[in-house]
Amino acid sequence: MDASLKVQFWGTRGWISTPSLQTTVYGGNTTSLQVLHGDLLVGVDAGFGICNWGEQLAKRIVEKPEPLEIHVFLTRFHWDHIQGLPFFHPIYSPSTRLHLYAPYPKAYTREKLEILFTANYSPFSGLDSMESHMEIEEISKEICIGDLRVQVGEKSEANGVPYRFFAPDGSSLVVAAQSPSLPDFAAGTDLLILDAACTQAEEKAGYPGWGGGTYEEALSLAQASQAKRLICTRHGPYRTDKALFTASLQAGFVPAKEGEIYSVTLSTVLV
Amino acid sequence: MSMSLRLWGVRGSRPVHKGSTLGCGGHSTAFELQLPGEDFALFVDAGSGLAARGPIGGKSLRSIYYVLLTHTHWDHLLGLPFFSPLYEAKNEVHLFSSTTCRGDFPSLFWALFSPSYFPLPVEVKAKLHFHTLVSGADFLLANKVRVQTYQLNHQGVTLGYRFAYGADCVGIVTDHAPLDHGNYLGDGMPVGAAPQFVAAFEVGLVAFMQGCHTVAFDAHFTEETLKLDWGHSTPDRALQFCLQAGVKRLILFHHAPEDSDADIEQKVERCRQQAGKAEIEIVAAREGDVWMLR
Repeated sequence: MDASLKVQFWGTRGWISTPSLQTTVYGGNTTSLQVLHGDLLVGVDAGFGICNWGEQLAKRIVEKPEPLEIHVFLTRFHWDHIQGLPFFHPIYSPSTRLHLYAPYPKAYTREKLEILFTANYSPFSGLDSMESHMEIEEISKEICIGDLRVQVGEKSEANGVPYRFFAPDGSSLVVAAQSPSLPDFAAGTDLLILDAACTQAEEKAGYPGWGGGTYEEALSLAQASQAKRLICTRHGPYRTDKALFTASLQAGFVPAKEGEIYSVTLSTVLV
Repeated sequence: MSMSLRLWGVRGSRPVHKGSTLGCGGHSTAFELQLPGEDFALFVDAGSGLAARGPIGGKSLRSIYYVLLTHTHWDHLLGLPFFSPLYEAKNEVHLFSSTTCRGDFPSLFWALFSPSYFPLPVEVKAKLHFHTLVSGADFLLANKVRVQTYQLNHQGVTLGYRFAYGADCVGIVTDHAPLDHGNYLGDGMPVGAAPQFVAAFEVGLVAFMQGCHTVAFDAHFTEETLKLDWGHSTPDRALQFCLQAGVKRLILFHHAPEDSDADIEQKVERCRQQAGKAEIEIVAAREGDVWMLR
């Protein structure tokens, strides 16, 4: 089993899924990613992208029926970060244990997620009616999942909470929205994954990126953090592949591609 | 004077994006009934397909919008906050939903915009009108389009719609499950085997669909993959109802998010074989398609 730290993007889109021929390169599912380390199953956020991960896990359950222990860290409760949860295949399997982590009291997190499973909006009758064991857990500063160490950053209403994942060899990655306190938390990380939706000029002109942060700000945060590498994700919903590709060349950043696996440590520095 | 049916989203359960679903499309359910020359626009369901019309901030061409929901499950609702006419003060938006007995419609609607879930710094400026519909409703929309409803077999209160405009008539029958083995899912439906209820329901649905040139029907499952209590139908069941009602075109709709374009193509082929020599056109719902209703 490969113990080096990697990340796979399952959903790269902000606000709403944008399945179309113009989004096939960078992706059209709302935000979700998987942190790969050994045989652990660890994810961050549960936008609709998590459902494609779920399909992969469902196949695995059929081929090799053994209980799955899945850990999902939630950065925010905004729709595009949670809406895939009721459609994540493993939760229909009684042998699945799904841990949902957020830095809030359990009752608060439960209340926020319950709406997804209510009979008003779904064919379900509440979170507890699902067949899997879903465990909501309150985390504060740090938690270990096997030998993966997870640090919890400072939370805020606007920017949610950043997470930093450390492998035993000391390599790390940070998943975060843009926030002023980030450089301290992400200092020296190997891979910084930041939300960014448009250029500064576009933001001024009213591009409907809606506060997802600009590429320029992402680059300067990466520099201030002394991150070795930056990947921008949570792409603006009406951003085509062509426009995103052009913007990435002009501004000089790497846009996350759905389905792609990225190693956390590289011999070359890309930023 | 003509009406056509535009498919903005054809997927059930949730939107999906991957290489194998690009042909039929990955947006969740949304229809538009296009009425050239009218000063209003008419949509059915508000899944992510409704957001594909364009970003918030766009200028809308008309000033009166009707959005009729089959029901309020996520896949039929989640595009609503991205429906740009909501954000223009010049617009009137009429929202129609069934009587869900578990919550009132305006509060279900406003919860979508709650800042803790949807922190977009925009304000709904259109004048909103909320309407609740019951099964068996029969009324004229904008004095032009006749709308009829029929409660389908799905969790909560889910309404099938029938629209007639001039000589054109179309049915939208989703979401709906077979009533086999006492599988009665809708609010107000009997508990336990009730053959008389089933017979009356089926006769009623056929009568409801009669006169429709085209019907978009829930065909989420196949007979092999059918999970009755999930609330969805199959191409075979859709075909049976359409043949009995004399429908000319069946659009197999509400594709499962797991189904690839090839799976859907196979579903259509098998349904065509099933239909044999019967005079009915069978097609897969495909995002972006516009169907004339004659």
